[in-house]
Amino acid sequence: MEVSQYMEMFIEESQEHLQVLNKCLLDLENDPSNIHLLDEIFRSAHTIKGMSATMGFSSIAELTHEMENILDLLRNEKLKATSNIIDILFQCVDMLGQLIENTDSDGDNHSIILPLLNELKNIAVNNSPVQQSAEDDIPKSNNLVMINKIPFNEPEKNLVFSALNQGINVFYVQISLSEGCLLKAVRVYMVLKSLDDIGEVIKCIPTTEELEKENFGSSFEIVLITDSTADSIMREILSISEISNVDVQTISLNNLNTDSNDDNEHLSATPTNVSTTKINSLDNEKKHKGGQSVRVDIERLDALLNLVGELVINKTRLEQLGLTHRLNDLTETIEQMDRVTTDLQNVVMKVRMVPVGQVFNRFPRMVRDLSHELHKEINLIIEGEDTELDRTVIDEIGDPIVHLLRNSIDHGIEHAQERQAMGKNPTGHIYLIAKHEGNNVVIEVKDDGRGIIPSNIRKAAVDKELMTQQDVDKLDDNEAVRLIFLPGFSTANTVTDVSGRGVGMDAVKTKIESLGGTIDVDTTPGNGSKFIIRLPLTLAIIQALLIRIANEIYAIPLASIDSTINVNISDIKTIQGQEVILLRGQIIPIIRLNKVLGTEQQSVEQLNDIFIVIVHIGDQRAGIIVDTLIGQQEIVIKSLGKLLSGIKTIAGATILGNGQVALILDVSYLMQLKSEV
Amino acid sequence: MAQEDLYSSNMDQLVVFKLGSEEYALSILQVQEIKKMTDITRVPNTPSYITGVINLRGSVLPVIDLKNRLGLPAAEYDDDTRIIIVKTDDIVVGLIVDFVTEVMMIDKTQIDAAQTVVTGETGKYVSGIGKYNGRLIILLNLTAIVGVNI
Repeated sequence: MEVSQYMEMFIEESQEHLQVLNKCLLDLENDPSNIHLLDEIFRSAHTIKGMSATMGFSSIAELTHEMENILDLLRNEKLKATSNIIDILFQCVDMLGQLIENTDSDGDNHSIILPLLNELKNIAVNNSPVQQSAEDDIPKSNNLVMINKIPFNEPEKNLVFSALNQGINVFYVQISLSEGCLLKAVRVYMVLKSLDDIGEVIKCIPTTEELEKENFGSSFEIVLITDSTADSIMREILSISEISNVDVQTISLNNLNTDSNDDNEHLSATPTNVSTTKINSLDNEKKHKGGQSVRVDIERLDALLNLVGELVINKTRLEQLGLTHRLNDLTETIEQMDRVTTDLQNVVMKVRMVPVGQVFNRFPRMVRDLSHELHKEINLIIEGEDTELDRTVIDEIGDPIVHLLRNSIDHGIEHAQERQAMGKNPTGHIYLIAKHEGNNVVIEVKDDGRGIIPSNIRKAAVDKELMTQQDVDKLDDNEAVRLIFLPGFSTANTVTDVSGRGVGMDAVKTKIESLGGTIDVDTTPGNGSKFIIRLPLTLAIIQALLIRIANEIYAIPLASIDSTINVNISDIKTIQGQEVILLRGQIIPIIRLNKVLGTEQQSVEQLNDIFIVIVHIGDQRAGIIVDTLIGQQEIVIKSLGKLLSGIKTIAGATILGNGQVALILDVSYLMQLKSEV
Repeated sequence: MAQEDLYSSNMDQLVVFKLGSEEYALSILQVQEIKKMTDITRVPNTPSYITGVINLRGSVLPVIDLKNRLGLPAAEYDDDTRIIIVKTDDIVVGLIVDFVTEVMMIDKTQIDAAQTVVTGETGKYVSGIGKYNGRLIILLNLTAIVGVNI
């Protein structure tokens, strides 16, 4: 069978199931007797087994098979879910992850799973020697069919025997058509055709000729030799319409010897039950995934988004035309088009949105492993995993969060004794919270550990020669703590395996900023620290304020604008050469854009009132002096391209309604500059 | 650089344009289109030869003033001024030239290596000198002109 085209799907689906496994195992650890969790774990393992067997990855299939044995013992309460067993199951999941990842490269490497297989087998044997016979997994053994009941002729029998001897599956499939099916022959043909694709149909009851003449009731039977699993056959057939029921039963060598006293009724009764439960479990899986879905290449979505972007630009252009010509009909049409494009844009953005849970799901496992390793007791509490973010952001956000979590586990949370001595709960808590805040998504990593001590940071900054003692002394505590974001800063006294390898918060900050976000820290020594990541909801279309400076138009993202004010030139004071204004009791430094952007000296200087746009990044504020405010507008962010990527003051470009290019100011960079201007 | 043969192995097809009184050329394989002068948005903190960015059917492209880049005296833009959109190493940029003359086929044997004729600072931007019916055409090294290190 040609499998390469299914490879991607296989890997993606397996990874989803691995995540389910990880999550459920974690829950199981806290609630070892929960039968529903076991069922879910079993289902995921079973699906992986089925898929990998279909794809021909026998190691994965074998490993999951052994896992199923253990899980089944757990499910039937013949075995208790001790931490030892759960650890081994975790190891299995890791191994599966590895195997699935390496399916491309080194094929089926059987030897690496042997130690785990042995351990699984040991558990099974030690805990229930009786269950030895459960080697074959349970659903299958229920499905055994008396081969004698099927009127095979000699050559057919030989075919079945040789297939079974080679380890190829032989299934006995009963298919019932819906009542009132008009084109029975067509449905039969479709069934036979789809089965031919996955295996070889060696026998039909009644014969193919009879079937084609529609000389049968509503059901017919088939014997199929195939590499596929019963599940996939069932799915394949059920995908054809007007099929009411499918019953797949395995023919194996064992049942040749069993006595043939069972009558036909029994034969058809029990297995049918099995088949219906199977269908139910399929339904459950679907529910779990949250309805029907389509997998789409992200590039196509990007292309779609680009087109919508173009549409928005053209809409703005039309709006301008409408304003100039003032035709009623035109204005009306433009208003309608505006609604449609806004809706369209929202839909496209939504399509690109993925719940952060996708990233968060892998953290509980990581925290568990790390806290075990470091002998700390840590509880990870995740909130708001349904919060949605743009797909491109989701892909990038994982690593920074891992870094923050590792920091919290390694440096933040104290050992249990230490915590008790301080009168804290011996179990440390780490909160990972995602939520909406205006046009941003905020992700917080909060711990109740020892917090960050400003004096330590000051000392470290001086020791590492990042700053002089005088400079450090000038900083208030909040600013001092933010020094951890400086390149080359790492507070870890000892370099551990976990964190403190010098990559540091600097890398985290750079990553977040490259996504158009910001990161801030809030800490109370002794009570823990909180890292706050703010990310833009979307990366492509934003609201911005257009401003004019010396005949040039620039855009400032609305998300970073506090307010715009109108002040008198005499309101601008200087403190140590830095221009500032006083706004509602707050001192706000002033940025003169003409100096930063190299435009001509502003002529408005002579005028008495000047416009200032107050911008903010986190808690820091600054005022930008502009010539004129043009207005708020929806803009589509365009990249300046590789050639101009090094320009820091500009975050990107956009195309205005008149086709002109306007540049988008990088507010966070301007804020850094303010002390130098 | 793409110097694939078009019709025969020893012919090159060039886009010829004028900067001041001199004739320059680029291989036609590097040229995507030729555009009339349009609004250019200045980009702050860039080298002086980068005039700014333009809107080319929805994408934003940087534009290089070729005369400035080659150290030639500047002139006002007029109706003949053109922007040649070129692509090299996956970077698309516009080059401002005074006047696009023609597209010509030139025999490769009629192209001399640059080092023999041009030296000095701007020498690295020249890849060769073509001789065509008594005209001298300066072939440009596009990769060096676009130079990704800003």
